Amino acid sequence: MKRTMKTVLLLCTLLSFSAMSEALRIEITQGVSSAQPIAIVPFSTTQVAGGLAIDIAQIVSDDLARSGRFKPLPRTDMLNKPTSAEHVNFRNWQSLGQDNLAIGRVSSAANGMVTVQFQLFDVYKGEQLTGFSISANRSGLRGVAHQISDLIYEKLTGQKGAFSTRMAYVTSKHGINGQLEYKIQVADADGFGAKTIVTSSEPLMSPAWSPKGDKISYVSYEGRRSSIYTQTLRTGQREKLRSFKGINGAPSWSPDGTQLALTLSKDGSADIYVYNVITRSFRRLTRSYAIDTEPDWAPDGRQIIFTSDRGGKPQIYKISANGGKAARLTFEGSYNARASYSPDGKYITMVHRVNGQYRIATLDLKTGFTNILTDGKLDESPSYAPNGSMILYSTNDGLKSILAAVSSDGKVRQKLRLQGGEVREPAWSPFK
Amino acid sequence: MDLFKKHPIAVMLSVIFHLALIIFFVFGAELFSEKKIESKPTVNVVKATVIDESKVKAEAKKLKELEKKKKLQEKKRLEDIKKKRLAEEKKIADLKKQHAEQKKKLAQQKAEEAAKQAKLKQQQALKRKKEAEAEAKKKKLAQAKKEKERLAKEKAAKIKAAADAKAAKEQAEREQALREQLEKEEQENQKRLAAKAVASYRDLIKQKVERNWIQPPGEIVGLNCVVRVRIMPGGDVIDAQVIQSSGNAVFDRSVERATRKAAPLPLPDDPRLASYFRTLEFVFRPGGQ
Amino acid sequence: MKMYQNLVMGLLLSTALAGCSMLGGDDKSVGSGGSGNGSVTGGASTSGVSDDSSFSGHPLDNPSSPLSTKVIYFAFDSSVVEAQYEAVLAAHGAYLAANPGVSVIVEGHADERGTREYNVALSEKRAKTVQNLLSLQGAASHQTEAVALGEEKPVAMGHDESAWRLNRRVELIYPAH
Repeated sequence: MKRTMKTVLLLCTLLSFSAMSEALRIEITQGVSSAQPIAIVPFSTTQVAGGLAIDIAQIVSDDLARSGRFKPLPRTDMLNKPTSAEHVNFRNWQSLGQDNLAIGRVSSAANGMVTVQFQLFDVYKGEQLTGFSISANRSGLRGVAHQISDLIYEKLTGQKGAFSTRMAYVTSKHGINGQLEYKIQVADADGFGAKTIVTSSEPLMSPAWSPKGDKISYVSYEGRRSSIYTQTLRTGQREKLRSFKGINGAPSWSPDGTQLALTLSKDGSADIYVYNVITRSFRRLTRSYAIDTEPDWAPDGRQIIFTSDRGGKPQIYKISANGGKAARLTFEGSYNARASYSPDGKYITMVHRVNGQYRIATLDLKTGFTNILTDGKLDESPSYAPNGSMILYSTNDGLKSILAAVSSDGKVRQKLRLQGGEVREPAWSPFK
Repeated sequence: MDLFKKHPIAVMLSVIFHLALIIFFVFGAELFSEKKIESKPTVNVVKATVIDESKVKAEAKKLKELEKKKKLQEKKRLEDIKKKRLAEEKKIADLKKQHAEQKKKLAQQKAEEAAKQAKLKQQQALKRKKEAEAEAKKKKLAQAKKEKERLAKEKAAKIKAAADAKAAKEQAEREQALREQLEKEEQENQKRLAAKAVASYRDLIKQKVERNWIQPPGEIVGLNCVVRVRIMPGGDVIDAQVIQSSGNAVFDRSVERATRKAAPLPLPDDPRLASYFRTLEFVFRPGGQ
Repeated sequence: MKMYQNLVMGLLLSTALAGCSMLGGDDKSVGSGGSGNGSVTGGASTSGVSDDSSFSGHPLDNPSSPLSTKVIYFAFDSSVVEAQYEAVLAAHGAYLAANPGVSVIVEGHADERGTREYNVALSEKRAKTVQNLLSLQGAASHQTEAVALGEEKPVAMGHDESAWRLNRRVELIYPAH
């Protein structure tokens, strides 16, 4: 009896000792979902003959901040501003709580070109994550900055960056003769470099990008009736679709670029039709006495969602692209309209009315959870970025309509500065 | 001291007298030192040309009478001194006598006391003797009885002893077991306290790492990445290494960074407890539990 | 009467011809600062001056006639024509019935609230309701055309009910007369 006791005790102590020399396991089940701190040090331009007109680091910083996923360090908080790796002291950046550090140098190259070199570092590990050297014309430097933003974004989030994309939108402004002048413009995703692609004294509406980003379809009221045009961006050439009596509106390209879903009311009330771009034929998709409009294709090309008030009030419905029975998707609120799919097909964004105010919301198609992202009164026309991380939309700043961007989780919102009058109906281009 | 207690007044008086004696001796010493008497007055010899014989004679007579007076005085003084001395001596003798008498008295008293005591003692001794004799008798009887019992007891005791020995053995074994049990419980208690302390620090570390982990966007529920971190006694990270990848490079990098960024990690001061935290393995499992 | 009719027909045809040339549209690139396509231009209208108290101008412009009302307003989210406009539409219907050569564009509008294309459809409902009422009163189908402009051409620019109620309308647009 005594002996067994002793052996048991010995074993116990031995076991406890072995436990001490093992690694202690700690389970981490959650973190914080805040923006990643990143310091983007102004790039050196001393090696560029004649200096640079643009501030590359500032463009990168603004891009990353707008995405909602990053929190760039203000320049005034930087203890020093290294432009090459040997001058980087990681401790400095650790003390500022910066997880990531980007530095760069611009230098002149042959034929009036410039070379931009940049490096991205993991501050706490003290090592380089990525580095690139990009050559470009001076006129293309904004594009280089956006490229750098894409590279950083992709390295640090695992998702493709959408900073080198464009957006189309409608503006209206009173012209010299006092009449309202309507335009459709195309600009960089940050609002810079706007170019007008069409001007009219009658309303222009609903710009829609083709899947390759080479064409834009839109509704024009020239001749005081609505008709749909498809315009090739590079040439400015456009083709008018056959228009019918009543409504010709809401064009939406299929992901394979062969079809356009649109709204026609030629057979009574507004219904969804599908136009074959190659055969130029129309196929009726919905038949109801109610209003069916604002179609949008699913990324897999198999489904089309649209707005319908067949239930009394506007809600979002889904129908097979080949036709059939429509199924209702939205059950929250008495007004849901103008829906479009996220690029991964898991969410839709739409205009959702709550307490008489029109806001942008997303609907998780799997869980049915509706997330309201904005807090304006007249927010509309939401459009997803091609990487699904942000949504462009139209809002009112009290004086006029403007564009704004909100991160898809609703955490960060930014107003876009654009020239000229009322700006609305943004459409985010696909990836280049 | 006993004497003082028994005859306090006598003793005190004796002491006082003794002191008085001493004082007399000290200060009265002056009275016994023989002073040298100036017997010769200085005479100023005056050179006189005409001296009246009768005056001189009268002067001489005066002088003689003065001397006689002085002598008488001196004699008297000496006699006085003598008288005084005698008186003194008498006093001393008296004191001495008194003292001796007192002493005698004390001694007598003492003797009487002693006698009394002796008598008492004697009586007591007698009593005791008597009692002792009675006792002895009693004892003898009892002893005899006892002997009888003893024998009986011895017999029983032997039986009992055998049983006792057995019981004692069992008792000892039980006690041993109890001691071991207590030891074990003590150990377990220590372990429990240590585990509690470890658990609370583990929680602190977990919270700090969680605070410093910026979750990458997108679907991360279901991903699993283990990072092994070696810690210095102060909580600084020696190195952090992904030992089990989640398959997602961005996720892996974010969790490794979280463990580095959380340094210095909170560690217990007690080095014994801190030793549990030399090597940590963080299991990043978002959405788990 | 016949002369009058011919005059009207003539005017109509000429304006239609002018309109047609513009309706054909410009299929060439329109680039920046491109040409706009204008609307049907109106001509000048004349009215005689006389001492008569009776109106001697075009009946459509007679201020004491219901025909002078050419805008009908609607309640929010509704395409129901309110009772107060029934007389107006009756008059227009009758006028059209009596003037088979005259055609009118029934232009529907909506206020800014809600999504744009849905508002186009909503405004069409309003236009079609008015169109139906006109046919009931005798207008032939070729005489009326419903056009839906949604919220694209507001008359009031405010963001409250005082502006919105003015934008929820159907306009009866007769060619120049």
